[in-house]
Amino acid sequence: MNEIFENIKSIIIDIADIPEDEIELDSEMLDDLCLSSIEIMSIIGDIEVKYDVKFASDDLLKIRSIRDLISIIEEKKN
Amino acid sequence: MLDYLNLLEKHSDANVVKMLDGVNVDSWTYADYLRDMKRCAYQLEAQLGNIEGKHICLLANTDYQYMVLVGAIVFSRAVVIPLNNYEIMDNLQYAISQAEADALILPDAEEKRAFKDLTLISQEKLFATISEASDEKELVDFKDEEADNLALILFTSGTTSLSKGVALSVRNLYGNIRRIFPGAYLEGKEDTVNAHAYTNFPMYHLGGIIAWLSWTANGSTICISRDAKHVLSDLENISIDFAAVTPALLKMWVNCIKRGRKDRIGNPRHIISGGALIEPPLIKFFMDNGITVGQYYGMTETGTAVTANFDMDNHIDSIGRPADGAEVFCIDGEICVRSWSNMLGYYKNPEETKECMKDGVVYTGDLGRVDDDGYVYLTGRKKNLIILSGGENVSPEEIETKVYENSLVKECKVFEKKDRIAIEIYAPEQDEQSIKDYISNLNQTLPAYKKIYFVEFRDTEFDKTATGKIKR
Repeated sequence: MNEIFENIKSIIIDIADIPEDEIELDSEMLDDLCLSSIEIMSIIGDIEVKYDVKFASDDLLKIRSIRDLISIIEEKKN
Repeated sequence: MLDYLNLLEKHSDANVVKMLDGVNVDSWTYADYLRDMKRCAYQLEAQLGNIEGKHICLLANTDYQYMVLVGAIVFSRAVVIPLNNYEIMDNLQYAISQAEADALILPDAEEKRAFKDLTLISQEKLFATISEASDEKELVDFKDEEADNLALILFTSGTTSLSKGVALSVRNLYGNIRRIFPGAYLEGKEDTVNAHAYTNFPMYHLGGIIAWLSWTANGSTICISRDAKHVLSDLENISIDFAAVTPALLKMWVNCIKRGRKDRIGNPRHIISGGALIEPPLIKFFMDNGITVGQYYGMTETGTAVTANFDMDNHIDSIGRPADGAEVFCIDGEICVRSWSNMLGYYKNPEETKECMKDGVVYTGDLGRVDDDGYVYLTGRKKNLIILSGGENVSPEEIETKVYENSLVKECKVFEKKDRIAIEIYAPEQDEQSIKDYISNLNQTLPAYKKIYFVEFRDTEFDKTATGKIKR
């Protein structure tokens, strides 16, 4: 969980201009981090490449916070 | 009339499209494109009979096949209607019935039950047949007498709660050659043939249509990501000459450049943008990093980008000077356009057409002024429309109508905040939570860009105009 969280943080910082200390497990992508739709899509895109998983449009609807994102990644890797 | 097919034939060995999918790049030549267009036209006729004058909708992702379909349908003298495959079903049904659709081409993954009264064609089966069967339909370029024939209907979110079908004619598509390129190409300093041009504009948006028309007529290579989530990883694998993208994507690219990763955006030398205003600081940032910027302005109703600005050193705030033969001027402070590309009107909607077009002149609903050098500046918006940085148009009325379906809402007003949709509501305090829950559920049904992100409440009525409407 911690390793995935660290990787997600790097991806987010790589794509959006957000200070690392503002990204927390329960941070909501839209409401807390103020990420644009295009940024969220690209973050998910980089996660797909890094973890060799595919997100369906149904998955995207379920993701609000970083924690949600981590759950789905773990689900897909198992 | 532009001899478009002739131009495609001339460019034969040049690459017309490159579809990007991570390290995989699929490419097709102009010769492939012309051949596939003719095969597609043959197969459509085999399935539907003579399609001349028929209305055919497309509900698919923008890619090489989409361009084959648009070309095949238009040159078969039918009418093509690109639809937004992210739009909600109600709006799609509305568009399909407004456009008087005869058939719909869609991928197998799409939900077909909703379209039971329409002739459906599987995109996969159609293209499987095209790759196996070499039968071609002879396609010829348009003659002057066909100029006013309907060729394309593009739906746009207008100021009312229902979208409108912008009817574009053969003249609007091929009455002139479009040259939508960075300044260096227009000055002849760089060659358009095989120029790699990346775009994220979809074909159901005017941006996608004019990129297709302009770049294919000039022998360029259109580069598109198969999956919008992989824009950055796709462009790591290809060098592009320029990009024509939305301001929303440009904003994300700023961070790549700041982190020294110009390779993640394909190392372009130039950028052109439109669909929404590019703010001067954004323009300056790219220029400071060695990338030229061009700003284009237009609307679906004008059929093309009617102004272009390449002079950022002296006119960074301007949307540019008239381009490609358009005439742009102001009437009572409103930007108006006369152009060969101006729409025929809104399809089967004479009342709305009269509001927007008089004597062939399109009244844009944007306020502006023209300076002594002929440069146009936007000063405000007369029409009640929200334009987001992704080029998406959202009608406040459309969202308000949906919110009013909850009787607890006494009054509401939709507006834009931080590039998202916001709403202010007048309702009794005890109903606030219930209304928030209602909006949460409503958001589940809306495409991402229409979702209401900010919900604010007020305890007094809104100010009204003399006719009792809420002041905006």
